[in-house]
Amino acid sequence: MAKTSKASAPKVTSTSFAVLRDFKEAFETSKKAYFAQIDNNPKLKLIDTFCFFLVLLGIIQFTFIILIRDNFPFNAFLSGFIICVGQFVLLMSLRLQLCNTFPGISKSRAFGEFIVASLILHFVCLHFIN
Amino acid sequence: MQFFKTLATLVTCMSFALAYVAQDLHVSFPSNKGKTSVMIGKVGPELGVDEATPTLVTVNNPNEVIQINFAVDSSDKPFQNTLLVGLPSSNLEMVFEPEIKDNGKLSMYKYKIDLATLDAALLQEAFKILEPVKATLILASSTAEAKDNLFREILQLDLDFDVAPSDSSLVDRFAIKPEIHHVFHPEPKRVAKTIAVIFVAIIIVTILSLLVTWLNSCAAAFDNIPAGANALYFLGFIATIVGFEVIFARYYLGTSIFETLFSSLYLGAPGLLASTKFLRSFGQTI
Amino acid sequence: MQFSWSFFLFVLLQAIFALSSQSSKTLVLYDQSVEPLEDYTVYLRDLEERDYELEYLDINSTSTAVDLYDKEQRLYDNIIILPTKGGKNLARHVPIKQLIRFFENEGNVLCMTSPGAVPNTIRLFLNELGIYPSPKGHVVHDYFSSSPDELVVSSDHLLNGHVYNGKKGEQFVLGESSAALLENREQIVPILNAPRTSFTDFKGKGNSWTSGTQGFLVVGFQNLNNARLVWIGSNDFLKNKNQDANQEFAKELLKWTFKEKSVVKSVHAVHSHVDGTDYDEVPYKVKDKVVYSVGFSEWNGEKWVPHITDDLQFELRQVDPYYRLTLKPSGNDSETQYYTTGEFILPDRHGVFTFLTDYRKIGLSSTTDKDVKAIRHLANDEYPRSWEISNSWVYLSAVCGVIVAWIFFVVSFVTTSSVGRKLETFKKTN
Repeated sequence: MAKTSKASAPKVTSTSFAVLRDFKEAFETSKKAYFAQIDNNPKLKLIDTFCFFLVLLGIIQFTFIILIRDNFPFNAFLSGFIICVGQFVLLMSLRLQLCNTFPGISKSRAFGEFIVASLILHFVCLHFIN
Repeated sequence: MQFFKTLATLVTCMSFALAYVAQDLHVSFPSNKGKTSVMIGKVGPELGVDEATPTLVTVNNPNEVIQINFAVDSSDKPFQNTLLVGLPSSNLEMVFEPEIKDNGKLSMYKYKIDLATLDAALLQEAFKILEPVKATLILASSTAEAKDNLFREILQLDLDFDVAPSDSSLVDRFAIKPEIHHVFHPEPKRVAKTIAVIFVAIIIVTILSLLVTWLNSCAAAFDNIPAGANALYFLGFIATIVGFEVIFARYYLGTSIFETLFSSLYLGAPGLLASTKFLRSFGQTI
Repeated sequence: MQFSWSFFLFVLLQAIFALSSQSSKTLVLYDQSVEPLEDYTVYLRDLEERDYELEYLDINSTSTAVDLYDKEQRLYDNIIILPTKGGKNLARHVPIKQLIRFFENEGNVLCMTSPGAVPNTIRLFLNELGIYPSPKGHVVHDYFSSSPDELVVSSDHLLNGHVYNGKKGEQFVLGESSAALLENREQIVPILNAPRTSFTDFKGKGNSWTSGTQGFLVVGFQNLNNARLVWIGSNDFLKNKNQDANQEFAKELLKWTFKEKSVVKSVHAVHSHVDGTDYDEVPYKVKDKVVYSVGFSEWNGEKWVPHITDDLQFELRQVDPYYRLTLKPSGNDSETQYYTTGEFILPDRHGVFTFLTDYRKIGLSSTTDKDVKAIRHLANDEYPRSWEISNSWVYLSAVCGVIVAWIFFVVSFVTTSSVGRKLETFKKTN
């Protein structure tokens, strides 16, 4: 038993090193590509920053729920949380269409739809929070 | 003198023979070897019922068998020979019949009280009113004079064990039932205002830092503000968006849904026009 | 409108009641060969004086059955069955099914058996009710009694004050009596039990049917329609020769049997909001404060008088009781004593609830008052708004913050130039 494990140990480390190195490389390239992309397009930067802070807001509200151990106005919590999630989703859809327009749908139409959808989301959340 | 003495003894003997007397009355516990029997002695009708205090026996086994033994003159056996066990104050009494063994001049009477066979109603009542169960002996005949008949409480049983409530208890003859008050759900707890304010502050700081990040990172540069006719459409577009949000906020603050729908309609018609125009011309730059 | 209808109904009911209690038609069945009718004239005359319409029938006289009914119409209000011997004759006149039907339809029955005569009809009828009188030949003895030949029972053995409240030291003569065993039923009204030292004897064989206080000499039964039955275990109790001893008890017993006393009615059961507005104006919703009140009257033989008691209970039920409150007296007039629950808060559960007072006491006629009402839940605008709740300030600020940030986002989105066109091509080629 010990023998086999000893024999196979360096093999494992070598493969895991390779995987780790590959991963690191891939990560570096995608990071570089990403920053190149958003540096080139301030609108994407705008969207991504917004998304990041939406996630932050969601986390803060969730922390609050855990801290007080009570979800009493559950509707209010849901609407607070859902507006973050929903806005995030809508922003992601917009971002997708900005980078890679869907056939037959112009960017301005995508943006208009984004505005309408967001307004509906805001109305629903304000209604639901009571 | 001698004659009168003899007569007196004779008379006492006569009256003694006429009255029903339980001789050598004792209580034994055949189911419990360790427990010594209790001697009560001679019980006759000549004592007033209240004069002698009945012997108290404590029982702590619900399956205990209590045996009451005594002897009666064989020549003059009573017709009615029952032992009442129960609670006379609650009109709850069970009747036990003796085993009789003739033994020359005396007849041995033996009553067996098996506590396990006592009625559930009786046991439960005894526990409810916290009274000992009483055993009363009746020895009587129609031929005897009323004063010679024996009717005497001879024993009290203090039941020192728990009785499981059962359905076979007495019907509560429409007795008053315990009151019921509805127990309300507790009001939901509300967090202390300071904690809520702290979290509100955190959220406001987060939003502000979002705006600052935008401005700092040159993501929001405002370097492409439309000019000319487009500026008008642009203002209309922004006004429409802000207007809608204001309508929603007013709805939240209590305006009725119909008013909200109408005002959205009034704002929506020109707003849509301006926004479409703006997006069509300006949106190319997106 | 509703009020006038209910008032009309009330007047009608009262008229019917007055009619029935003033001249009740009573059938008296007797057996001249066993116990001549003349032995019982004191109480029968007493009944006639109180406007009872008595109809006598010797069970040996005719062979056809008595018509207790004309189609569905009950012809008699009460039946008195004096001691009879010919079980077959009685059964032919009043079959047991007829008797049961009569009793179920609110007809009152007074019957007697004695050790010498226990007709099957009566025995089987009583067995249906849970009363088991001793069979023929079983006699109650009490060797400790002052009069060994006949059974004499003191007023200590009276068991129900609503039937008769005996004076201390009163003695009732029952003569040769049988005793009954009773089932444990709520409708049974034990009236007189046997002394502790007594027992039932059958031809000198000792304890044969009952022993001690487990034997009952006079027993009542009140069914769910408030019809009453009284069984007396002795022929001698109602006889003229014993009237000195028994008169008062017997008269009250007859009054109780024929519903001349211990009859209770409830009136004006109402409930409303605490401020007096009733359900029709403002329907109840959860957690409303309401108050319930009801009046009780008792018929004392001549008129309605306030019924005063402390064991009245009100229940608010939805399958199970949500409230059971003991009513407190609130006021009275010449006829009625009013009771109230005081103010209580409706449960925080919506649905259909029953406001119920079900007054059943042993020896009194029973009354039930129920009103079924819906209790609604809170409407959507009756909950506290989010800004009133400290918890939701957090969520509210998040929502507002997102909206503000979004407006800012939209403005900056359209006013900021994009300079990344070449990136797209780069991505595509990639």
